[in-house]
Amino acid sequence: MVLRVSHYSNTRSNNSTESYTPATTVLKAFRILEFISERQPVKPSVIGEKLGLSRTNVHRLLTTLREIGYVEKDGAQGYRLTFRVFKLGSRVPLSQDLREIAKPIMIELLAIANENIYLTVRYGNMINAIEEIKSNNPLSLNPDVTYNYPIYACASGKNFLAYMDADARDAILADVEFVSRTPFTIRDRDALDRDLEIVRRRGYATELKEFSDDLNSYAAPIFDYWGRIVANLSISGPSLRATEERLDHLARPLVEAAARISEHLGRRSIESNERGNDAGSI
Amino acid sequence: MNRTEPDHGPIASTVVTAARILEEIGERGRVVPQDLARALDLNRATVHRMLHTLQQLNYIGKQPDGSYGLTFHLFEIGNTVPESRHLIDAARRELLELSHDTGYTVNHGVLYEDHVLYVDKVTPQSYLQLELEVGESDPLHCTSLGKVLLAYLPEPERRATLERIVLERHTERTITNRRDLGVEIERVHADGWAIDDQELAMELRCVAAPVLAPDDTALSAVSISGPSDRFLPADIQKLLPLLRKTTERIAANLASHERY
Repeated sequence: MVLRVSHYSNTRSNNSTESYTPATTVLKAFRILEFISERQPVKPSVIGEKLGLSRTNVHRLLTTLREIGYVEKDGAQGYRLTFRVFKLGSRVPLSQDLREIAKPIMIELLAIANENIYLTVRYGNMINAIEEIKSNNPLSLNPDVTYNYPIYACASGKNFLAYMDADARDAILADVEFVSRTPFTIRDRDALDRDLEIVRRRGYATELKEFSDDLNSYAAPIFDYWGRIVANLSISGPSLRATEERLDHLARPLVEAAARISEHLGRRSIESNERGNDAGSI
Repeated sequence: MNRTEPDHGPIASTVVTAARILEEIGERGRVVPQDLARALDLNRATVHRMLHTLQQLNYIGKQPDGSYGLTFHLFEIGNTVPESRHLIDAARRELLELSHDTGYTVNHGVLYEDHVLYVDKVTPQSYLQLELEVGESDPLHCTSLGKVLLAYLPEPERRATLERIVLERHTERTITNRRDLGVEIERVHADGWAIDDQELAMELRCVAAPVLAPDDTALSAVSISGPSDRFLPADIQKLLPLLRKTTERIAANLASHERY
């Protein structure tokens, strides 16, 4: 009777030991929700086409999602998710605990790195810093910092992309326009995919003058209990001081600090061994 | 509504059931299936089937103790809501500057279901942390953000909302008289800013201004908040031009995203 739960699997396949068949209507409805989340506003015709659902099916499920207050129609532009979904998502206990768990570990990392330390999360195809521990270095970070970065142009974004499902990655990148912010910004999907390979192999991501000419940053992934990437820890500094060589030396303490936060979230090192490649080896 | 009924109506009832389960888990944090079945009046088989489905979607996960909780994936899906409306990218930089220049906490909120819903917040490290978190909401009548959002609703809606909302007392300074609140809202609309002088919590003072659409309704609002012993009415007056500059810039940034 008890559901047997395996660790989060990227394949989303049925668990063969499971005695309950999933409610297919529910799966379809929430796949529509996810589809809208990645490209809102979305027209119903696009949903049907991309998800392979009939018009009547899409119509009925959208009516249902509207009824429960999860989607709304935005004029002629199509459907968007509502703030109700935002509120539901912010109820996830981790989003509040995460900061508290991370802060002391970030302070310790600052003592080693003496460069700004950030905790970042993903908002669609943007990466946002939700916590910052500042270095007391007189030369401060470039004033261009907005705490809001395109997913392909920052170290944290690369980690998110590297460890998410292939479908989710495709959906996010489908609408991303690669803007060359500097000569080093990744400019197409192929180059990005090659970089993501390296990111997975190394266990951390690098960003060398890719977002801004005078900014370097390394990021390490933070995983939850189910082995899913939830946030990143990053070290950022002016490229003149936070050189590639110096950041290479800081990569190990960075990855260790991120792993300690993952452990607090319930992720155990045994699990990372089971899952093999995702915890990274350094 | 939830048992063996075929799911063929205009509304997919299984989806409604799944959403109720999701919301209940969100409400309680961690729940065991038996409690869900009891709270929502669902049979065990339905609950297990829905939990299994939601787990497959990776919206919930099972804890070692057998309880279920929401996953971070749902947090990420939720985050696309303010982001897709450009409330984050159009405002982040301006909020940071305002917080940096003033040394106080800055909040960004929208009107949602008769409350102010916080979509972003910036705290200067050196100041005391206020307990406002993004995704949470507060009443309209006792917050500066709420008063501003209310004052800049289109007329019939403004009156209807003023009539409808519950004027709960939070401190001795909370405005609980509907007529007084109406007068206050008129003043806010005339002045273009609102103050909350310890009306939600003692020792907390806030000032807010609207981010206006071309039709003079509020798209969102920005507030500066601080401890009442340091954040004095005289300081608030001095900060107004800075606050206004911030909201005007955000409005301009949002306008540049109009094409979306």
